[in-house]
Amino acid sequence: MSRLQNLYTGLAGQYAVMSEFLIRGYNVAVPGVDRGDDIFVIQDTSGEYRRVQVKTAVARELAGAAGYFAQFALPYRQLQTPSTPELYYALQVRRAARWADLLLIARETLAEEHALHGLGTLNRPSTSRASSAAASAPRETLQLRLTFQGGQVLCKGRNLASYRDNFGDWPELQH
Amino acid sequence: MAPYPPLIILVGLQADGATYALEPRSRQRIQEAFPGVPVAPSVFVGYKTREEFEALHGPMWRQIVILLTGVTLERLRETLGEVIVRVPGQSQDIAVEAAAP
Repeated sequence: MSRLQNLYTGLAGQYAVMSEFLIRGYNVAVPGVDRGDDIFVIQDTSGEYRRVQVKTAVARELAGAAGYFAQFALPYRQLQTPSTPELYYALQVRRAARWADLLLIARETLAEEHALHGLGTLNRPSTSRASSAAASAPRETLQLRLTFQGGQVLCKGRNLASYRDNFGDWPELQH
Repeated sequence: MAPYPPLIILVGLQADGATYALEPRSRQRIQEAFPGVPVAPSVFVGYKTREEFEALHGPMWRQIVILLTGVTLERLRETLGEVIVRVPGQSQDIAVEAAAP
């Protein structure tokens, strides 16, 4: 997929996630400049808000088996860094011309899954003379390959199915 | 002092303050050594500017250790090892100093 196509896919996924929060009665806001916190989800009556980083992937079918997989790359430094309010990841999957899956998982939970249970694969870009001369070091990412099969959402032996449509921290609001 | 890897407190620096939380493996070690102790999952302490971080918060780290672990710094050092503060992405960790005798 071209870089330009990725931008369209990413923005489409962001709007899809925003619509899910809106229909539950939460307001949403997008920063004017994208610094990585894709959206803010706001409870209008209290002013309470949470940060949600949306990642979107197009699913690929498994070879020789029912099911599919999707790959996401999360900035590793962001994953390790605590924040107030806490950051959530929304992992949105596009499959067969529809939004097939959405996982909502707190940064702290994902960081714990990685540190304690080996979830994901750390990708350390190799340094070159060109990059070492750059002002910023190459960014490490945590690669998550999620396999959707038989009702499970598997990654490195961990089942993340409980985070599917995990809107527990956002109970529906009536206005 | 026990010859263990240091316990790590991760810090996220924001415009108006810093959020402290235990690194997951450190949290696990502490919970195993001191089961059932009530702790805060994270602590936010404000500052006016990011430049104030170390000078303003440094003297508070011993109290922050207690809030995050339920245990004093001295007890942690005796049982599990040194405690350090780490800002992800920065190369230098900062040791949390014990009180002067």
